[in-house]
Amino acid sequence: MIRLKNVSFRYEAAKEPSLRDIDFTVKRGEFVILTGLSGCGKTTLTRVLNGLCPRFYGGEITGSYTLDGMDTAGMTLNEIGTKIGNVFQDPRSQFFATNTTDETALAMENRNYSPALMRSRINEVADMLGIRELLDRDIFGMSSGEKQKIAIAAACCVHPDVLILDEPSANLDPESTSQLAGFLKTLKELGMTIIVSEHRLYYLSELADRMIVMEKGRVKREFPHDQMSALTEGELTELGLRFLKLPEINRPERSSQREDSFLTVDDITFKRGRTCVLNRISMSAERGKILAITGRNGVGKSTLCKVITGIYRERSGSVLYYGGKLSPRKRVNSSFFVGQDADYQLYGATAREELLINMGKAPELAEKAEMLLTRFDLSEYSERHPASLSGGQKQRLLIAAAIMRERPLLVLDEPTSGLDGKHMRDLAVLLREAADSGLCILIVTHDTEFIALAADEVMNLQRDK
Amino acid sequence: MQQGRIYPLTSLDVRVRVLLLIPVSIAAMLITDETLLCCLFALAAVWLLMFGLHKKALAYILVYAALWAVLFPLREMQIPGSIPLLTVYVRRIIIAVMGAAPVMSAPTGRLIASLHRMKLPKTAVLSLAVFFRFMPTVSMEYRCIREAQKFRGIGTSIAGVLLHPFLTAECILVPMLMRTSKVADELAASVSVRGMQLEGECSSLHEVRMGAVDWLVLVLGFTAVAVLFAADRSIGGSV
Repeated sequence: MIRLKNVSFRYEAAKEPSLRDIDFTVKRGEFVILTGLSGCGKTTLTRVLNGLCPRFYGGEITGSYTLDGMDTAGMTLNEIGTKIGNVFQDPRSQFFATNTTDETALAMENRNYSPALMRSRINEVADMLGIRELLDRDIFGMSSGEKQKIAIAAACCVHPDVLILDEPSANLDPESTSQLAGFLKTLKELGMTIIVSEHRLYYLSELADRMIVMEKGRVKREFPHDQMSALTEGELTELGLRFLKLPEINRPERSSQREDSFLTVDDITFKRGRTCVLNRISMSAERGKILAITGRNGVGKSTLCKVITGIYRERSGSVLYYGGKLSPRKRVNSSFFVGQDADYQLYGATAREELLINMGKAPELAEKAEMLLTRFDLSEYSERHPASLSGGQKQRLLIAAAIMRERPLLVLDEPTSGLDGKHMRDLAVLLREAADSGLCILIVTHDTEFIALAADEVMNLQRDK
Repeated sequence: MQQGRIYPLTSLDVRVRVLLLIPVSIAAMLITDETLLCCLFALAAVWLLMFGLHKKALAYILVYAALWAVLFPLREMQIPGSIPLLTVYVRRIIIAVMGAAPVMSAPTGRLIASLHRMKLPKTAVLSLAVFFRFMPTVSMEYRCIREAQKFRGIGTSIAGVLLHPFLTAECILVPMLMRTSKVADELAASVSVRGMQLEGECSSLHEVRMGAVDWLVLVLGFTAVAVLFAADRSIGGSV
């Protein structure tokens, strides 16, 4: 179905090629995982496969790529797009329409299908995936899991031979992830060729016929299903990958309050418009401990943390630091919230300046910033613009900024979405050190592997009916 | 978006919404008589209510009333400069923005289908569709940035903003541009692989047809604005 021969690709502005001498064949109906450390080139490889490189993301490509027996060199994006369907990582930026049915129809409208054919295809795909109830709804109000299902349905409507998914589980809770696995199983049984670029392997380990591990733009190792299943945790750690099975989590469940806690949330209610997002939530957390807050997509985990840190004002109830009730404004000054997207949160001209924003000019502070940069492995980048750093480096810089300000409470929203095994393990170590230095750390997360590594306690937020 | 509840004009043809936007914004800029301008504003408010955009309507009414309330005292005091002018022009712009709100609230699929039927060039259709798709994203991104800035003490106090206006603006604009250009890039990639292109025919899932109600609203809308405009001309108006 797909044959790449000696393919190398270099982005226009880049000095080094992102892919080097890729030789890679995928048979019709095969299910392949692409994995490897962040920056290994797997996203670029999916872009070469769907034609975005070099047709959309300009650059220099060498070698040959044949798709279904045809040389792709003369094909347009549109032609490749009729054979290959795509599901991208970020649900916010892959939807064009505001209504689910419109979104599903988009690829067909662009190819001038008749309205009758479009309706029958939409119904066919919706039945196949069991998502009829998701049709004709407003996309902005849907959970990440539901959005992902619509993205898959939208890709399947034109009956592509191949489906390429780029980190489809990055924003999904465990339940939605297992539903995603069910979807992929259905599509595989229908004979579709499936390529998934992914860090989380556990939900794919049964389905995959082959796993390809990339490193620095090359194919480093290939494991057929049996060899892949036989990989030990030691071998996976060595490769920088996540594990094939989810760990058991047996952390103490924390939901009740304790008298002497550092942070106490007492009977908080928060409404958005008429919708009650948080209904009488109480919890507590300690300094020196890492508390993981789990729960399904859309249950209000991030909202709870935004109330705790004072971004949102509670409708009723109170938030206490050290037993004293604090106003939202004071809470903002006593905490630090690291959101999912680092791009929102970096304002300095250099990494060093990022730590010193609004901090004054005392020499002790500059010294402290230097020390933190070293401790977070960022000293060689101290003069770089924060935006030019990698995702993991940006995240470390933000955590350093939090410690710089000596805020006792650090909250991280989904810090491991899109992190490979190595960086996830590194982050766990780093947060442990931060907690040991006396911080109270809350992590909003779906990532069972990360919880097992990093959390002391778990709180499962549920929506009461 | 409201789901389940149907308001009188929820399913009004998008073309009528676009066409009525034109006379409303022209009249908003040209009507000189205060009373008639207020009538036009009232019409625009009713227009929003009929689409179920109650919250928006209320917000605009409050802003309009506040500006109107300060306009006359300012004139009395004969304060020179741009502030009295602002109270005049911002109110006019509000009316035009109100005219545009029902266009923005239309689902993108319907919007594109309608714009196609109006025989607009495809470049124009796509630019408009992208623009309307982007409006909610931009405001969402702005909120995220402001929330994140609170923890760094950027732009949190009025004094701070006044003392360092450029720094504050830079701290909002730079991340905003980074984010929106990234989202725009990914969005464009996602529609390109789904065959969206400038050449070639495309079809639409939605059947677009002007019904009796659509024609009626179009004629009534035009007439109402025309009457206001004619009345304004005959009075001669005064600003």
